[in-house]
Amino acid sequence: MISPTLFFKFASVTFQKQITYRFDYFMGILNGFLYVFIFTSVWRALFSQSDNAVQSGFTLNGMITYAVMAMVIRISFTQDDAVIYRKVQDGSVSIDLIRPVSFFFMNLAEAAGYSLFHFFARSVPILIISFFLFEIEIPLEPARLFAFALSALFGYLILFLVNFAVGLLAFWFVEIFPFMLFKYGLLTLFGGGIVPVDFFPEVLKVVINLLPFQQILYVPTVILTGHAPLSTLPGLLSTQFVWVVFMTMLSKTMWGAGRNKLVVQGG
Amino acid sequence: MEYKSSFLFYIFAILVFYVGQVGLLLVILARFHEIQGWDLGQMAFLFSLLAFAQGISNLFFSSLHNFDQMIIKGEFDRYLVRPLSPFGQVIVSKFEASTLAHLFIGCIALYIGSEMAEINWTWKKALYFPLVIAGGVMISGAIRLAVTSVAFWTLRNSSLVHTIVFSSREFVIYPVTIYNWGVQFFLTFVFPIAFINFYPAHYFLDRTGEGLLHPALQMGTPIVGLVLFALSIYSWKAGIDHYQSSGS
Repeated sequence: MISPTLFFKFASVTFQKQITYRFDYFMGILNGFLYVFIFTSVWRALFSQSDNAVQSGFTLNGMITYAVMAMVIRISFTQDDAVIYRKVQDGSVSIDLIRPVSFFFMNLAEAAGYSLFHFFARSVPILIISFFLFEIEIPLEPARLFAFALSALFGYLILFLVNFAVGLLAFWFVEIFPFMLFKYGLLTLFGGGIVPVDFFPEVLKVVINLLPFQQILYVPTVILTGHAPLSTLPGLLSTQFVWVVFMTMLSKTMWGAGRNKLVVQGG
Repeated sequence: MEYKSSFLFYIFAILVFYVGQVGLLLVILARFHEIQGWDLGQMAFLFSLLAFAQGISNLFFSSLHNFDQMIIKGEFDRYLVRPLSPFGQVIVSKFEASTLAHLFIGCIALYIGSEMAEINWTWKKALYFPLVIAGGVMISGAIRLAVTSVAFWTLRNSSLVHTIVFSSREFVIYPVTIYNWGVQFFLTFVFPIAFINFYPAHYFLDRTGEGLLHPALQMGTPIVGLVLFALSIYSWKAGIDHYQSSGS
């Protein structure tokens, strides 16, 4: 564990690194907004061709709110998922080992800085534009907002832990890019960032429940948008918490085994 | 090709990556049956045209994705002093394995599309098909080349490449009639990626009517491809004329 001040120091350095590229910044907003526009158009077309105003518990406005909020959360959660891999690959992990702070928390702090940048610089502008262009309905219940904050934190941790674990595979494999593609494909399909889990066939829902991906975007988004009733929130949050604990144990085991391997090799 | 198993795993991972994307489309279609009058078979055909154009243009143009790095690090200078066309050298500087995955998915989508949508393959359609693919490759290649040329002026252009080359592709996974009129106009006349799949698909699927501004547009892909490609070569040449080495 490291002190909060040190955590913020790491986070703010990463934040400042990002803000240097101004052109990247504007293209990033445009890029995010492009996706929001495409997916809201898709949902509009799908809902307009059906007689049912409610599909799997979503009205059109509810669906558009979901699409916008899921995208905003997804952008805030942007992480540099190759960072662990690069550190192991070029050997700079050995320098990190000498540092008097935990490797895990240092990387978490750096990821948080990266994500905070994306939150303020990209998510917030996209959210503001979307509020003017679309009818976004968010139930303003204090208990729900509190549950959302907690759920977003858990979701973020699970994403970080998944990336961390995939990155650590670099201790055993020369090339981990295929694993990253693999993870990315599963996250796109099962994360609920684009199509909420409710629309999936029952068979696939079984698979989805066995994987951590819906915990990352789907759960925080349904909590925020009001799709999940208040009574279900404690259950959703506990499941997320179990995943955080499980993924933490998995990463710790992998990190321990990987670090030993590094020492055996002579560093 | 020395590491055969890792190469195969790589291809497999790329397939999973695309199955993630296609999977979402399938989930939507399983639930709603069609999008704006396009059912599963027709959507599959629409997707196959995009996958072929994308896959083949990746083979030729993927070396352009990191072109800004080539300029920043001064690697491009080496190409300029050799007695070969700089364009040709950049094109062959990298082999793209993802093309195989693209073509594989494209073939499956084409098969499903032509079976389910019951495409009536006449001689004219069979002859027009390769021309549409070639046109699509030229359209997406021209866009990449034009965006790359920007790096001659701005040096860094990776986010521009990401937005224009990759994200914009999402637009034409769906029939463009789901967008408002302004966006349809934009995708037809300003940034004409609708010609890669949406317009020519009407010809093969014998679709008429809605969404088609004019019936002649469905035959436009090869011409649009040639014109755009000629323009992008011009922008590349202008870029090289303007180019000054970064000195590194």
